[in-house]
Amino acid sequence: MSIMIYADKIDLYSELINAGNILREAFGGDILGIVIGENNVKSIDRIRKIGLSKIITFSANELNEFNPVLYAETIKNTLEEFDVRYVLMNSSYKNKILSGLLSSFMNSALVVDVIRLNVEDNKLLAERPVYSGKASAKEEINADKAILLIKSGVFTPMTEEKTEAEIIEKLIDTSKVSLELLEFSPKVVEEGVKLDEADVVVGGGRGLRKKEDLKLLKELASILGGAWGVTRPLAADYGWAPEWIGISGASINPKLYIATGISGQPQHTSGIRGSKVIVAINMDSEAPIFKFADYGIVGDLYQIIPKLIEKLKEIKEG
Amino acid sequence: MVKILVGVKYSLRVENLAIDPKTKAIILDETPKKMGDMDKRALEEALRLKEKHGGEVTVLCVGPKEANKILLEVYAMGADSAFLIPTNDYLDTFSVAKIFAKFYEKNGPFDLILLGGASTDSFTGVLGARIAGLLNLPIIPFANQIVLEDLKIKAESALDDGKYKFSAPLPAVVTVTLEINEPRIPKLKDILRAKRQKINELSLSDLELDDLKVTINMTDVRAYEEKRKQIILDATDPSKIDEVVDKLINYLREEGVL
Ligand SMILES: Cc1cc2nc3c(=O)[nH]c(=O)nc-3n(C[C@H](O)[C@H](O)[C@H](O)COP(=O)(O)OP(=O)(O)OC[C@H]3O[C@@H](n4cnc5c(N)ncnc54)[C@H](O)[C@@H]3O)c2cc1C
Repeated sequence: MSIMIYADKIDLYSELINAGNILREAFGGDILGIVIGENNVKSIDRIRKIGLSKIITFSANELNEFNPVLYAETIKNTLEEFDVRYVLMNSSYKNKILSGLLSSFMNSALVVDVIRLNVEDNKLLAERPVYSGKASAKEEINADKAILLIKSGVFTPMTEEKTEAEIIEKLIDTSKVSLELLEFSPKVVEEGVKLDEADVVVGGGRGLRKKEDLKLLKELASILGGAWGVTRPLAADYGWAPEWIGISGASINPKLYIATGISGQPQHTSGIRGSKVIVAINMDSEAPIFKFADYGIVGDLYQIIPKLIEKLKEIKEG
Repeated sequence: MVKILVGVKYSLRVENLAIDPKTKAIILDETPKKMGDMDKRALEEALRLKEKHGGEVTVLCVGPKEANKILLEVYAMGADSAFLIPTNDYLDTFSVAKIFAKFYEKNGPFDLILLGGASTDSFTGVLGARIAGLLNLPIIPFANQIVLEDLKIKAESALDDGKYKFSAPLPAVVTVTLEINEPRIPKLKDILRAKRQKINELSLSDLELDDLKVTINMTDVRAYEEKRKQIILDATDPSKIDEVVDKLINYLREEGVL
């Protein structure tokens, strides 16, 4: 029996291995890694000593960019050979599709967005947020096999050095796959820090009156060495930004999130739950965002942000 | 001509969850419900494809009996036929996927299955892929835009790290985002006409799925208690701003996040 780990970013394997260890302690078996795509395979040295017994690699050219049907075929081919009972992946849109396809093939249970994992009386239990992050559900796996998609940041990365994994290179026939990727345009990150990797995020909502006012967010973010982001209406309806924070956009896990001019609808707050400290700035003292805030300022963002920028500058310049 | 199967879910309005104040359990019966936001856009997209290429739009809903409310709306928007599979038990997405797959096989052939990218309440976003997996069909997920030409479907998917343009032969499964379109609002005459249209009901036995077994049991669903500090400072009076901002900076320093 084995437990397979697949991540769509090489850095996330070391978090997933700690989820894998919970399963291994309860059910035994080996933990394998599977790495897909040339770029990722090039970086496997970074995950060679985190406790994986084997790393299976696929580095065909066609696998460099994501294609759910092709990736599912690729993983499928290894399941039987290695007697895989559990598959662990990081929770992302891509992996939701991939795991959906695989779970049908494996006839397995599937839980996404897992934030806690434990085994009680030989039963596997997973917890995940539901209803736009307003509630959490405990789910008991009632099948022999399961795929679990783990939210990033839930498990601490493995830092201990373990014995080196054996590398097994594999090939796949990509010609039979019906879904064709015509074009991939990667997200453009304006300057520096990525939203999902930032330590500080400054968020703006419909309290901002025009696109030019985004510079308030950008300036505050830049002083704090962080990234800026917006709510869905600013991105999807007004086109002021390429992406947004929330359940249908990006999830963030910064040390500090500053929400300005954001009402705090559940679809937005579901994506900010991982923030250590949340600050809200809103004119309306009744805005739901204050229930999600550690520190709130009731007031006009157009007066408060400039003041905050000014004072942080003073501090910085000593 | 395209024959399209659309899935819609009778979803909880998550903004208005009824929560038991003592146990924090979610009271499903008292929570208002509606057609899923993305599901409605899947239906809108199906209707637009039909208007352009001709064909037929069939809608399937798996849910409680009251879900026929949204099927009236489905007819008012312009669907050709609507089916309800009444169930009161909790079903995991795998079970729902199996129902869709069986329905597809029995009532097909269909050229396209269109679904919302994720349901409004549980938001797992995996149903389309599980159906595609069961039927061995290609899937284009989270599409922002769909074009049908030469028996192929082309669509742009918005995924984590960028936009992916995919092309798949028919039949295929496509799931859509909120951004794909703005759904039509039915006119009064359409609503009246819808009331005369028949909502077809099928049981699990009709689909030979009597022994459907869930792979997951939801054992406990509870509202989060927000544990944030909620220290609120008032700066509505402009003369207070200076002082309030200083306070905030001090708090953030104490937290070690500055
Ligand atoms: C299926 C679905 C998925 C969704 N996914 C997401 C998602 O992922 N992310 C997301 O963000 N949304 C999402 N939404 C939309 C979400 O429901 C809300 O509509 C949205 O988050 C509201 O954005 P907002 O807070 O910017 O705007 P509003 O709700 O309009 O709030 C604006 C706030 O600004 C305050 N304000 C106004 N002027 C000022 C001022 N001068 N100073 C200070 N405060 C001011 C107001 O008091 C108000 O509270 C989704 C919706 C659906 C149906």
